Amino acid sequence: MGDELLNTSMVDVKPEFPAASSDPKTGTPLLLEIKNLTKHFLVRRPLFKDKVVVHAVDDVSLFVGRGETLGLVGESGSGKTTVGRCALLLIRPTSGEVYFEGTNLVALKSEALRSLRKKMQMVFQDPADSLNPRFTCRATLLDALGHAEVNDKRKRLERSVQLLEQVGLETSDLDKYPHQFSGGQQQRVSIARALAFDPHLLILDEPTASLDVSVKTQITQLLGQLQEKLGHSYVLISHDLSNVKHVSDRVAVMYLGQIVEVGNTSEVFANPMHPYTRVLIESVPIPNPFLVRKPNVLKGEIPSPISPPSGCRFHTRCPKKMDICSQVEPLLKSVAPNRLVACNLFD
Amino acid sequence: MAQIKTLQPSLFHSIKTAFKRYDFEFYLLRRNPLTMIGLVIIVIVILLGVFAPTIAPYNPLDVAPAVRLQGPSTQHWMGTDDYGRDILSRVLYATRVDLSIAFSAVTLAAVIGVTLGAAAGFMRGGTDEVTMRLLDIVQAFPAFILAMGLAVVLGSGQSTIVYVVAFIMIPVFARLTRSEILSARERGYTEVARCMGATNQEIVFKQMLPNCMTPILVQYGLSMSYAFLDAAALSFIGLGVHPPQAEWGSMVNQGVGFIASGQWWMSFFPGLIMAITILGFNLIADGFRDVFDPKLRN
Amino acid sequence: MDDTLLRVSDLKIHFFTYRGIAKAVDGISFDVQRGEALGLVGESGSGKTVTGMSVLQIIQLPGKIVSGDIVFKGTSLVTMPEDQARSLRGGKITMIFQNPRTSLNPVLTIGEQIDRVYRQHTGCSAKQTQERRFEMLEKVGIGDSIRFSKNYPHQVSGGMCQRAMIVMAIICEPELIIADEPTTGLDVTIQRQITELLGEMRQRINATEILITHDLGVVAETCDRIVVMYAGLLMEIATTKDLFSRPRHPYTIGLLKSIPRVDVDEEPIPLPGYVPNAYSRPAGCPFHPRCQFAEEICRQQEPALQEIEEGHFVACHLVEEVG
Repeated sequence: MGDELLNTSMVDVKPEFPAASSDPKTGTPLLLEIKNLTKHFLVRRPLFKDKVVVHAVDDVSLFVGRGETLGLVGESGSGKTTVGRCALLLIRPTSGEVYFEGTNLVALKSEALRSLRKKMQMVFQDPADSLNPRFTCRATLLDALGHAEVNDKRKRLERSVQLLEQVGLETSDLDKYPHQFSGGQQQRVSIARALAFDPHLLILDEPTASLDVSVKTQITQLLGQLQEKLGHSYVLISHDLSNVKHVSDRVAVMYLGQIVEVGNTSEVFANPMHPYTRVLIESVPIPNPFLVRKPNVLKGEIPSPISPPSGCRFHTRCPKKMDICSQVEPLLKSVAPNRLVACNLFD
Repeated sequence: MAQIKTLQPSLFHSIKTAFKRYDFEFYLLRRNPLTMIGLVIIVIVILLGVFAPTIAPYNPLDVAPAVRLQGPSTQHWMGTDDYGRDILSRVLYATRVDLSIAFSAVTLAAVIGVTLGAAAGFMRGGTDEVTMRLLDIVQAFPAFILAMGLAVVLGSGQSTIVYVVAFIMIPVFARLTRSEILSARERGYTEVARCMGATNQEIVFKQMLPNCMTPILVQYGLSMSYAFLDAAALSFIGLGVHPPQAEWGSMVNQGVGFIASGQWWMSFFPGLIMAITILGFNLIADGFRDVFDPKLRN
Repeated sequence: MDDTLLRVSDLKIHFFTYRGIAKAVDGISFDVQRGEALGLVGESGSGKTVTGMSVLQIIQLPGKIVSGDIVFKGTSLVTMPEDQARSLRGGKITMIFQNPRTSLNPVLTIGEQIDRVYRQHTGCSAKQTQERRFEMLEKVGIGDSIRFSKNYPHQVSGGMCQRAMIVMAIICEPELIIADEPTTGLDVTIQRQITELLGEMRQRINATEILITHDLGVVAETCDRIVVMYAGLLMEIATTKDLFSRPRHPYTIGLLKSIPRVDVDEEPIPLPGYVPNAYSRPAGCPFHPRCQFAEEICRQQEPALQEIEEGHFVACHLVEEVG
């Protein structure tokens, strides 16, 4: 996506901006645009008789264009999973807008939402959990196709077989139950189920986290091939940086509910600008015993999202902390072509 | 691409697939010989009831004063009662009555209870609270006393027993279903269904309930035993089936007065077959309970 | 000079379940030298965790060690009576488990759990134990050790729980530490903290370590030698540098090519097929269905572990060709 787009839609985004932005190349609305998304959870604490606010996501703005993959990385408490669920409106945002192909999903009534949302599907982390254990693969796919409004029975059957082929499974797998599949195969069934809707956007929530090492790459490769063939977009939510690096076009790094850096993946990994991004990338173990390095170890624990630190949320652990960092909350700003960073170092 | 015809599973294949789903459960059932005994007993009892008209040597309602109060003999294997009716035939016909009462009552209780429990568990909030409190009220009464009270109000008779016995068994099914639904709510496939645009009814009945069936079926088996006992007990105290219709409980009631004078067979045989039937259901329910025991599932 | 601390010989561990016999470990042999960090690498079903647990003799029914031996400093652990094994466990041989929050006892405070381990093996007084506990907690970077000791596992984060586990594992100055996926499930930055901490602590007390993991990055950075397991059998044993620069087993080669890396731009190439489950291991070489080099002999005969270079062992019929 071009520089112009970043400069117009991301910088100085104000809540009063009512309409979705357009892709400057084509003029059509962006596939997915999230504006100023905030989600606070109210949690009752019975022993304390009060309710605490969990600041899961605070003022997050992102976009995804057609046919591209946006990686969303972060550790626990970063809010990346919540962002994913809010994008589909599986969770209702506390405030902010979610534009899917130009329409604000937050403003829609449930009936309209249900039908529009079918073009956005989600693939979840634990395939054993997301498949109904009492449904055969056939039942799962037929059910999905029914919801996707493929009404002819014969057509549904044909399409099921087609979907299985697309994800690399056999027709004989149709009558198997989830527990008869391996983890990788279960995930393929999940993907087939999502594809039944011919979605324009797939939100992948840690799709390979619970799979074996040798199988992870199979699924990643499958997802890549499907994207090339069918042209949909992905939002890949993951804590596995190595995976994200190879799969995403752009990457957004989140910390404690906020975005700290966004940019083209290769550039972000080659030259991370936010101190957190830098430490995060350095912390990943590298399978090369000849490499001698002393990676920086990030001290401390991730603060609780119930009471996030003042000013810049990362200041309690930041190796480059300055005095103003505990007071001034940095905004996401364009600091280089195609790069947004939220850090006081760049002000 | 395979021919569409061969993609449609044959009936045999569908049954085979269904069995595969439950193969662990079947293994556990097979492991326990008592469960198999229970199953055999139930099957025999059901067959006796179904084929009663064919097997019964006499008409159960035929009064024959000439042969009244005769003990077991070659002509009357279980003897005759004080009206000269053949007890064996009456017992066989009573099997039909009692089985149908028990099945109807438990099924009715299951349908209502499961629906209430599913609604409460899925919707939480006010619906959940109100439903639970209503169930609390029903369960606060000793079950049989409540059944007696309701039977008196509704008037005795076969349909009354069915409604009354069903009523006192609803709370168990409701609570069971509610807790199953509560845990099913946390499972991923529920979110997936929502993603696909499924309505709440679809999610509860099509997606969640099939996963809750095992404990519900276990409870069904257990409740059958109680249903027999309750139905027989109500008839025993005269609130149930009207004479001259044959029913185990009322037959035992009729025979009680004659035990002291030595005519033991009038109460003994219906009591015996009732005990064996309840034993059969208990054995099966025990077997099912093993199936349900999470400790064994590994 | 033979400084072997632990020797595993032809170990077989089978699980007898309703579905049949799961041959979790089916004949593995390897040594652990004193002072080294040995990486036990494998995916699910490789048998690596079961192997680690067998060293501590904590395999429970339906699992059983059916044959083979594990010799620790000349004494067999397999035939050792339970009370002797118990005195070794937590004392000379300790284990760090995966998922620290669920591996700690939820109804005891962290302080109590650490104390128990220490007192059982040293019989020190309560006061001495407490002092030792504070000393260790500080060493692992816990600031407020008094307050931390009073916490229950669910009240602290995963990283802190793992630090507590590390304290429990090293407080009696063990000779051998078995760490089973100690950083799996933790956040990336916390993983780095724990990995560094574990390395530091190990150096301090000069303990030998067996690190069980599926993460090749972690073994590359921390281990001296690596044992690669697959479907209950050994595939390759080599020093870390040899394994990464000259992998000889098709599984190792394929695995290394399939992992995505932050330092390299090339696309990873996935291994085809699936990891077999322990009930239905393929005949012959367990890897043959997924191996691009597989030939007839691979389908029929289980390959033996051969030493192809000094210290480099491979179980493959075609090791000459593949190399």
